[in-house]
Amino acid sequence: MKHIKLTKGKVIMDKSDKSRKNGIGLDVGTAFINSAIIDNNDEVKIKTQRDAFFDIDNDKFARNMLIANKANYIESDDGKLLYVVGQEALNFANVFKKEIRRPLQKGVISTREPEALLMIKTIIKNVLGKPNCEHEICKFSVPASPIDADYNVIYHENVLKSFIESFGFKAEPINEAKAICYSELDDEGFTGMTLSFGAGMVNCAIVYMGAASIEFSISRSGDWIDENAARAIGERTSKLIAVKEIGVDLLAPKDRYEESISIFYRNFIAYVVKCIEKKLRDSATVPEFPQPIPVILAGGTSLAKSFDVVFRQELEKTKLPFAIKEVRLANDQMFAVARGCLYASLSEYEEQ
Amino acid sequence: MNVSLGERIWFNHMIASMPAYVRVIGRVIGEVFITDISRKIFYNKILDIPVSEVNRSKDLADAIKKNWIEVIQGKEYLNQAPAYVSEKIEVARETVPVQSVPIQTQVIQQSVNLDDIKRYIDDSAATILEQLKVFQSKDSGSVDKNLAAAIAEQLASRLNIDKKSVTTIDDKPDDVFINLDQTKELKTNISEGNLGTVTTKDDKKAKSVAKKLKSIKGD
Repeated sequence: MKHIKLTKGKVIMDKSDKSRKNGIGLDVGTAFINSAIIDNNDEVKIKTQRDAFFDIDNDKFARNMLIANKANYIESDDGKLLYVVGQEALNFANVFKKEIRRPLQKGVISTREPEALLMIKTIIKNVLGKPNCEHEICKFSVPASPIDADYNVIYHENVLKSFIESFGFKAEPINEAKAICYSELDDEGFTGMTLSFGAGMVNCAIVYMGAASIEFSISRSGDWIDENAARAIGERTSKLIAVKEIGVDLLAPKDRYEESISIFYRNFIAYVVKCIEKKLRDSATVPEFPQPIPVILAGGTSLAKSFDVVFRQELEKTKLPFAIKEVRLANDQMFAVARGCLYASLSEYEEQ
Repeated sequence: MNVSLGERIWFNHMIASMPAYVRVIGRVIGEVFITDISRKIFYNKILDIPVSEVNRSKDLADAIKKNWIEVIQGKEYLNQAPAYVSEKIEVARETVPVQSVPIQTQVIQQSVNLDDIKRYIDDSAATILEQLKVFQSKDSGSVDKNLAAAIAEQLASRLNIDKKSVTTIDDKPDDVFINLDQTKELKTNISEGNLGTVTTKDDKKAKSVAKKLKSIKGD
């Protein structure tokens, strides 16, 4: 088996890497880009990259400083700026008391960032690495269309597909919430309601035996909480992100930062549950499940302590057209989507 | 003596000593050519025609009858004119007749193109709306976004602006054209494929899940 390298439209085969199986999963999120592969010892390797950047003027001093700190950077197209990418971007933003920037916004490629496309391309290329075989299948996550905002995801999906294929992979999109079903609901026959709480949006899927009957997204999630919690107490969003990621218990906030985060978390969860209720009430394709179904919560925004408790409380206030067996957090909340994408890719190489 | 612009005063003694005229004004946009007396009467332009010419012009009478031109002074001479019958009617006219309005108003309007005014207002309103949208898009605490949105809406509805002329700044991916050059890449210090933190976890169920997915062909 050989690697493929794409240079100026020509595919060049490199030496083979037999240490892993064919098939790769990619979760392209607003806050993180995660790739998942599995080696021959059945160990899943997940590569995570924070999907954020921070710009500084491109001069010798800045360049040397970044190299000394082993920070990854990307040069702007005109060469005037250096974009610090990844965790260092958040660190720099907090040091300089500025906001981080994101190439993705609300789950799709940001139109506010002129160089978002090339930046995403660079990040994805370096998170994916080289394909393991010719046209190795890469299942990548895409959001569903939002029910509470007027934009579609077609452009986003097609741009990602063309980038991934330019690296030598065969790119196939998969709904983000459906990917969670693959990674978390195998014991339930891939049946249930899955929710992916990302940074930009919440994706929801009602899945019956692996087939999604309803897929939709809500254009409000972790970023919305951060921005509003920060505004409420007159702080920077980057600061609130850092506080949130250290860990906040929604039922027992310790200081004013956590209190603000907790308030907006609760408001957000109530909003999501209301959106779900409305969508299911208006939808004609809700399946009639023979048994109560599980609800799976995944994604970075669901990492807050007591998130499932608050979600359950809100869900109990509403009436859904099917019975709920349980509300539980995914086994691997951060990487459930990437894993689901990986499993879907691996299935393409499975023999019947 | 104070005589306001555009106004002519005819004194009786002067009238007596001068040849009689009929004063007419063009009432169709463009011009009316009175063939039989070789006179052009422009839109909203006043023209004095000697009574002798008026009396021998059938085309002029015809144009007056069709309201292409209006007699604003000297109607009495028209009544005295002998009946005239012409076999040829060659009156050139252009486009749409305008409604009858006071003369002074029309004199003012003749130098201004109404289409130009409308276009100007539309463009100005669109520019204002764009500015408001830019304002809205800025994360500034000093701008009342709701107020800006309300003003924009009111402005758009009152001026009846075609929505296509209003540019909005939005997050819709299909609203923005971005040149997708697949070969272009930014310079970086990242060594190829070497980005991100790697987490390794045992995963014994991957194979069985992949098999199950293959069997149900859910994807």
